Amino acid sequence: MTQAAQTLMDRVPEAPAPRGPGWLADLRGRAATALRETGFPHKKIEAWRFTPVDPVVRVPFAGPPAEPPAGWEAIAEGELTGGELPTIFLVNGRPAGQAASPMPGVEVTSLAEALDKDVEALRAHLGQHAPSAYFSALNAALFDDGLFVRVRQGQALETPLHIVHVTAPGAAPVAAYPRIVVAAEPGSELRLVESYVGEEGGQKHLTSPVTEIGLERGAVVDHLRVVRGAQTGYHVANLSVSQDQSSSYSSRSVVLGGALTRIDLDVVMKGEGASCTLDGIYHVDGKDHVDHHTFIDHAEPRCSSQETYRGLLSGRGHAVFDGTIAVRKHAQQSSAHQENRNLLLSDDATIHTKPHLQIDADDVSCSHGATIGSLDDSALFYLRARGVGREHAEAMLTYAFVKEVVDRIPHAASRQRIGRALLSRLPHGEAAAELE
Amino acid sequence: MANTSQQIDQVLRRDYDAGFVTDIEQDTVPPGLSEDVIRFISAKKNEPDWLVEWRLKAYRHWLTMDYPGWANVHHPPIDFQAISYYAAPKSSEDRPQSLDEVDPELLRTYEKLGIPLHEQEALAGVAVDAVFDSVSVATTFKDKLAEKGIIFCSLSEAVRDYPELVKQYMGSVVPYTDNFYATLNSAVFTEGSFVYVPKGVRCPMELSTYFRINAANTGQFERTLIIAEPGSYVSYLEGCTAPQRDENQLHAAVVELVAHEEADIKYSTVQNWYPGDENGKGGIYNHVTKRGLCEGRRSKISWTQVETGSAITWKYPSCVLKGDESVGEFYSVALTRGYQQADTGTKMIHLGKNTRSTIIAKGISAAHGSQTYRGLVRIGKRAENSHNYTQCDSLLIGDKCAAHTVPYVEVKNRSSKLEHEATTTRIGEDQLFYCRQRGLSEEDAVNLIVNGFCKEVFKELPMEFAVEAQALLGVSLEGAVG
Repeated sequence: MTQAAQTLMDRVPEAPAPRGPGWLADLRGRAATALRETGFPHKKIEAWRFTPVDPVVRVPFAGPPAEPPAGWEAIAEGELTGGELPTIFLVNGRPAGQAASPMPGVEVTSLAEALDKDVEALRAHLGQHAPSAYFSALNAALFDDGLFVRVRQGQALETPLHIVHVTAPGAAPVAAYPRIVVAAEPGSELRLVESYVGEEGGQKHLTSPVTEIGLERGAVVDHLRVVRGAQTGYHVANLSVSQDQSSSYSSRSVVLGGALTRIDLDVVMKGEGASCTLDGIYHVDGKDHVDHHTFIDHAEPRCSSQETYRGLLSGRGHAVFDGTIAVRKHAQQSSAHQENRNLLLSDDATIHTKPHLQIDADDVSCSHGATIGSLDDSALFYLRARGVGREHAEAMLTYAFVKEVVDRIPHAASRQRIGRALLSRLPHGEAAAELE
Repeated sequence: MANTSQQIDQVLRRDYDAGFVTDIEQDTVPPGLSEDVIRFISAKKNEPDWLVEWRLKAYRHWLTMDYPGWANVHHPPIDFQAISYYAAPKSSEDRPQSLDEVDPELLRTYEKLGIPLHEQEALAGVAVDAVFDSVSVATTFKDKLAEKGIIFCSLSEAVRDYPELVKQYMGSVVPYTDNFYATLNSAVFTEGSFVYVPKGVRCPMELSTYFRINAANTGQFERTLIIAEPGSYVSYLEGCTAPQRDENQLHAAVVELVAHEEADIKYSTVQNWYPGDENGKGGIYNHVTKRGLCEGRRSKISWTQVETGSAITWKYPSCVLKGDESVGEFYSVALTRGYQQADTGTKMIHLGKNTRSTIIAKGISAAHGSQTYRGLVRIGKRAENSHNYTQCDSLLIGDKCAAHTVPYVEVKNRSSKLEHEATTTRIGEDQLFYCRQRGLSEEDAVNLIVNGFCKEVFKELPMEFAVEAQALLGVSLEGAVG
């Protein structure tokens, strides 16, 4: 690149370096071309109407430096999951630190290594599930490492696999493009705890991960994904899940703020009898902007999905929820239920929600619900009448609004830490600590 | 195309040279749209200069607009140059003063459609401002309304007799720049109804207009304007049928409602235009812009619609709740069968404090029917303590139909409450079994269940309309099940 990069687009190579196997070069080339043709999304693109990405794409973020910048360990301490779990760290998208002790039944390798060996199983998933558009195309064109997780047939993991993503800009704005590929072979079981954390203050940083999860027949994956946003941090992620027959996927997404956090979660159930559960909790405060786009595709008969997203909005925060459920023509006996509830805690907060049903089969049971409101006066009165102070009562009711979803997080240590982090972000949250 | 526009130019230049007016001989213009056609329509209707200018501004703006492709409806592109923008029945020059003077041919057509004017006058106490193609041919009960000071006439008469009212309100709710079809309508509208209810007056009867589309190749561009002064009440019925026809016809109407302080407007529609044959051929393209402005405090606008006809329905009756404590309502039943497509819903824009809105939308899809509910509820920052309740239910009959729900929700203050729910199901086997077991035929059972499904909406309709709507639904579902 002869000219200095002015924008993020200048970082997209016209012809990506020929590295790794040929099919990968093709994939990258196609992604770069697609992105160069469409450009980054703007307000006129329906899916990006409420999330302007100008502030992100105007910054000519540099790729990650070869070595993790000093002090990344301190940033990593801000993450909200794990506890005693052995941890795999990815700093700016590259595995760093000591490798976690290997667990029986699961192979975890760096993506670069798996690509060097051109693992057949990787080829079946990498670039096969995620769309090649906008930021996921950016990731495809620019990622240079990540993780490949493979759970062998019939293996069930006892302890969750814990991955912590750290984005540490150092002296200049930096962008990380981690790519995580998970292959859950038939009948396997995996619990995945994934956490994103970036430096607060200092240089701007962009984390644009793409996660592809392939569940084969009867596989079970439980996926906790926590993003702790930063005022200087942008997080634009794509998570694409493909489910075969009778497989079961659970996503639990927790987003705590961020200057701009956007998560696209696409689940396609392409085998009969698959099921998925998507839970989500988000909190915006200050000038945070959090956008969730979910797409659940019932492509085959007898699949079921259950989606529950809860949002807390305070300060001048802005949250967007756009959830689509599609039931394809012959996907009879589908069951799909979606719920998005939001609690507005300030007059300056804004919520846009768009639950979208797209039903092309008739023997289905589908519903969605969305509510927006503030705390229930009668509930508040009930507590006040029993001698609970106003602030205390408000904090209790606010936390109670999301508690149901927090409680469903299976990993106890992570659940506790997330609960505490949520409480500490709420006004007078400490008063309601006993609810945790 | 060049030939056609040359012909138009020739024809029009002659009329234009003559100074807009008087003895224009033809009652239709050749297909096509240009500034001259607009001038022709305007001249034909003896319109004042400001209206001609307004039409032309709209036309010029329309030329800069893109064809809207966002709706979930699919049809061959409409050739706007193939449409004839003006058609008048033969006897239009001398307006009939009473039904006796109306061309008996026209009256017979009405009778065939099952809406005998005489009977309606006598039985229902309904004043009918019937629109046959583009010129109003019969207006009844005018005197009775005049007693109360209510103006109920065709829009052209209003332009002639009450120009200041029309000038003040037309385009105030749906500006000529609003959207592709509304802009087109602003440029070429030919007829419509005008209602003005003075302060404190409760309109003693339901006002009703029956629209017909009859002449081949004519699009219909109605424009309705209803103004309710402070403390008044009016209920307006709109019903439509159309004779069977093989070509697609475009209908792009605009309806504007203005409710001042404590005024109440109820607008009910039963739409049963030709939906096309069983192969999806033909049928009406219905692209309508309907919007009500709750201008004053405690005003109320209520939309009720039963949509069973048209090949394409594209319609979003909306309320702008500007006055504090104003109320907006939307009740809708839409039925699509055959190859019908409907993309319909509402917008509720909350601007004033303590505003309330309710949306109940019921969609029924059968055979290859496709149905989309598309709605927007926006609660602005100043609209403190506002409340919206939305319920959209879809019923699916058969495995080739589709139902989509696309609600947009925006809230910008915390004292407001919003609830939205939507369900999609088919008629339950257990419900059908229950009915069959008690001796109902399958068709009757389906009718019973569907009518129950729609009951919340039907109860909002004026009585005679509710009966008609129920019958219509029954007829429409004939043969859809089995």
